[in-house]
Amino acid sequence: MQVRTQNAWPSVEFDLMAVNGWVVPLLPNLFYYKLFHKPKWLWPLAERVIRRIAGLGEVDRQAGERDVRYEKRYRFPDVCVVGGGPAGLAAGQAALVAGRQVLLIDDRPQLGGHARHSIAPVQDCREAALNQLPAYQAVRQLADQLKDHPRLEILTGTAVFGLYEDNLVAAQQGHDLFKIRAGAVVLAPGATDRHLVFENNDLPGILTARGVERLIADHRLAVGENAVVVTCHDGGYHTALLMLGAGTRVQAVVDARPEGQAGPFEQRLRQLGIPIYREQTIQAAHGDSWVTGIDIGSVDGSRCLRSFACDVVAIAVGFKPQLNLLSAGRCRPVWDSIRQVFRVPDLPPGVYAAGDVNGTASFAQLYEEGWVAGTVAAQGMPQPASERQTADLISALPAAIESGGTHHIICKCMDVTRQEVRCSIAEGFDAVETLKRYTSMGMGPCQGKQCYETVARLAAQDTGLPAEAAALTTLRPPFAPVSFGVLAGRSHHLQPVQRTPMHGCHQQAGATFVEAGRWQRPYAYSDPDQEARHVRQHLGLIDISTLGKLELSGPDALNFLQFLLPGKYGKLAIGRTRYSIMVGEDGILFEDGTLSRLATDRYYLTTTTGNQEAINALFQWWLTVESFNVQFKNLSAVYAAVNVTGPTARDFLQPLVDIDLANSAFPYMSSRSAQIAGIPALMFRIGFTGELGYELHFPAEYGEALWAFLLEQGQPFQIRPFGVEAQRILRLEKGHLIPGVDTDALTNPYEAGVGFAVKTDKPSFVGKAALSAFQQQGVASRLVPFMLNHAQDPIPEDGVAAFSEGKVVGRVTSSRRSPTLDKGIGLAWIAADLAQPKREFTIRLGSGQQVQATVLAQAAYDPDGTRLTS
Amino acid sequence: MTLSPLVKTSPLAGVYRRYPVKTELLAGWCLAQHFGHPEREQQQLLTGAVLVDWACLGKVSVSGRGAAEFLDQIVPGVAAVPPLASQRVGSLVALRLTVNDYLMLCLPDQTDSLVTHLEASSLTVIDQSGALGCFALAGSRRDEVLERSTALNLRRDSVLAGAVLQTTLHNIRCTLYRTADLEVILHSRNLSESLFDALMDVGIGVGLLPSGTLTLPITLLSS
Repeated sequence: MQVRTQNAWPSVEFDLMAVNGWVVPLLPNLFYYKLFHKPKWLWPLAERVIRRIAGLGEVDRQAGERDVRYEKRYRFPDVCVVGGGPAGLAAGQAALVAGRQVLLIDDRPQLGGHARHSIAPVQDCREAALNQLPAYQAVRQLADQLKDHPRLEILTGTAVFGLYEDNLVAAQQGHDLFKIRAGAVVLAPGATDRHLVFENNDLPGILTARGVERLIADHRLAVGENAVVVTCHDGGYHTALLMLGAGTRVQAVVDARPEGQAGPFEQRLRQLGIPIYREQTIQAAHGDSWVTGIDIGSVDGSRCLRSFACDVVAIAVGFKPQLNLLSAGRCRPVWDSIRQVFRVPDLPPGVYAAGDVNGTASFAQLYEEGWVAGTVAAQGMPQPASERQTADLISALPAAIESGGTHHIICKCMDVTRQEVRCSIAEGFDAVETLKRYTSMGMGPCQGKQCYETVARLAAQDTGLPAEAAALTTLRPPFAPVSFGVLAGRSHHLQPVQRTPMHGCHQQAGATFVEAGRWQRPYAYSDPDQEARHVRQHLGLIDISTLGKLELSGPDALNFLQFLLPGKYGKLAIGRTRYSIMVGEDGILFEDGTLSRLATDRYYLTTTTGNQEAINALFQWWLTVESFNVQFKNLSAVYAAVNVTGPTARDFLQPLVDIDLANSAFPYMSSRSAQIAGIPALMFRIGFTGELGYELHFPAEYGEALWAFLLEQGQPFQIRPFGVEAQRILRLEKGHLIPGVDTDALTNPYEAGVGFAVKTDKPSFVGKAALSAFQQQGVASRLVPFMLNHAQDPIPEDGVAAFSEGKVVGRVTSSRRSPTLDKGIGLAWIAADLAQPKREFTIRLGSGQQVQATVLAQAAYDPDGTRLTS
Repeated sequence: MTLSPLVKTSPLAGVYRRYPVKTELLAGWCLAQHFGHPEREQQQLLTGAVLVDWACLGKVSVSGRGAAEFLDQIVPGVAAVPPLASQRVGSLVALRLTVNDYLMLCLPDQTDSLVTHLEASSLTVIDQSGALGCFALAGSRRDEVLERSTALNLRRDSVLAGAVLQTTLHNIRCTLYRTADLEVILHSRNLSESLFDALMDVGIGVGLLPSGTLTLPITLLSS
């Protein structure tokens, strides 16, 4: 463990910052709200200094670089028991007896809770075998009985930091986050020592009694040499005996209760000659960097009666229940004036409470309550009301011992004093919630676990309310510190990567990849310009497996396509392929692809990579809501696909397939079924690249084999793979748009230049009304191909503005340098009156430089399509 | 031109290259026999967990009205099985995903005949063998891998052998088929490598090892 000081300088032993202890009382209450705000520049400086002096934690900026494994784990027990003390163990045992699967969680390394430190004998316990055993032996025996039960899982060293709707329990164990969805939750988190407010109560050496007991019992540590125990119940005597046993000299026990019948521990101490002072309590502690002495006197703080020199003070003034989980922002705790604690009497269905969290009790009573809670939780029944013996109850001391002085600390995390609370209430912050926000009480690392009770009681007291009207601030999770890493888990699992069937081949070929949605596609294997040039001159191969591939068949397949797509396909012959677009009901263009007729009632539609899943969902939806007799198959993952393209594509493929590839037998915009290397494939003669090309769609499991086969067989033709960047260049040379890249959410087909794919003279179809309206209103701007006027001009970035005569007339959507034409080319939206062939416009680059461009009538490359159709 | 038949590659072919994998040809598929440590992998099946690539498993989706009745002739009793349950006859398993959607699993060499038989009906039949990746997760600590991978309740007393679940593992949609001895995880081929990496990553803590058909032969589907 590495321990560092937070706000001591230069060291804890010689701390110059201790001067603040003298300065701060001279400043106004909560001075940082009131000072250093004028002039304006002062506050940022003051804030830095104040934060440094306050010793706030620092973000560990190296945390992400360490090899830490954050796991998220899930559990679904019938009964989840939080707390491994007597009540929790009994609840778990009862739920197991009822046949349930149980998860028992405790934040300590060993089960047993505070009973692990107790030497008090167990009496009258339902579990007879435990009677007469010291409590520490009893819980050990209980834990041993349970630990190997097949239906019990025990998570020790696990902090529950939240309880949410539907019994979702959040817990942290190391770097693991447990999300536990339980049928029922039994909360037995216990109670912690009550906080006592007196002068200098934050001096090192002033410890809680259970803390002292834990140091002795769990860590075998003797705490100090000269101790005084301050108490108001028998537990203080128990602590004193343990301290004596550990070798600490107990100078006195100061008991706030009036004289009465002495319990067994008190009797033992009296026999040992330890002085006991009744009806007195601690009033002030003295010391500089460690407690060196204390004053004791009347409980109301008015009279100081004695002083002791000591180096340890154990405070045992009762217990406050750990209500955070019970409250969980939903159930507000109330002050129980009989049990003298805050309690949550009513819990949501499925949540049960047992043990010290309902008020202190004997071991037997805690066990009984846990057993009942476990039983009813297992059966899903309501919990009977909690009961307590009068003898077990501990009367609360005043929330603060008003013995004078200015250093009565209420919130030890945030160093808030009694005086500051008084002043804040006087300033008008008299409701507990506003008081908390103004003073920062309860907002430190412990999140109010230590001070919540004191804050509520003092707020009520200082505003003249009765104790029963004391209200807690809202207790919200996380109730234990939890790191962002634990909450976030491991990031790389959040974004799975989609790989094509040929991904391994691309990796081996040294491709660089680009993300296209969730896909990883080869960006390039070498220089994209060279790849594009090679396709124009020789032969290229590209992986297009990411395309969506949909097959529709059945008697209504044509009608369905006519309904969903804006084109007309009644005359589409078998074996022919047609460019197709998709629009929404608003007539906006969002997709394009090709539609092929494979057989009389069988059609094959390709979609773009990015819209693959959306189009599939859209088709499914329309087939659900409309009564078309159509069989719909999404073959996107079933088929891999490649495009073999280049002037020699036909010569290369002909010997490898079993069909005639001659232009007359397999013309442009056609499809065929074929076998290639014995593999069944669909072949499409289409030309996104602007060259003679064949798309091959074939079973995905052959992806790697066929890719390698084509590269090997194509060596005589100088075949080379090319990536999406070369493809972008090639398609721009040909002036092909990509929906979503060159279009946006306002683009209609007429403006985009694909109005030829819309046929409004057919019966109702998706988007007909909107398309008709668009057709009538004409176009305000057009998507046109352009070419830069000068070869040496730099290439415009995507999205830069187009100007004419000093006015903005449009924008560039895509632009690249054409390696074939050695000039910048692209697509741009231009105002309709300017979007005419040979019209010039100006493009302003990101750098501010301006370049001249000319609108083209047709594609920059092969405008007549000779190469495609030959 | 005489060509040697092309092999079918697993979606984990890229993963194979990262390990000293020994492969074998199984019904035309190139599959991992082991990942370099056959004895250790077999030991891990007993004491820890193993993740085996069963990509070659035949996977045929069948959907449409009347699917239950038609499939009942092939896998008797399947029509009576509720959604998210399964029925098995020999090495043929029918997973009922919804009322009218099934996923049939079979041994690799049975796939073609099954598809041919099914296509005789008017149902929508897709041979998903190459489209879906398939892992078998086995071993005594396999639950610990799953609990780190999904928010779904997979307690053995509530999700019994034969159950079919559609869930996500590490944000990847999967169909999970539980048998008495192993979990069959079916998922998109394109995400197979991502899912493998994610499962191995969370499985390291419980000793999960990648393994092959030597440790877990695909015929175990029918056992």
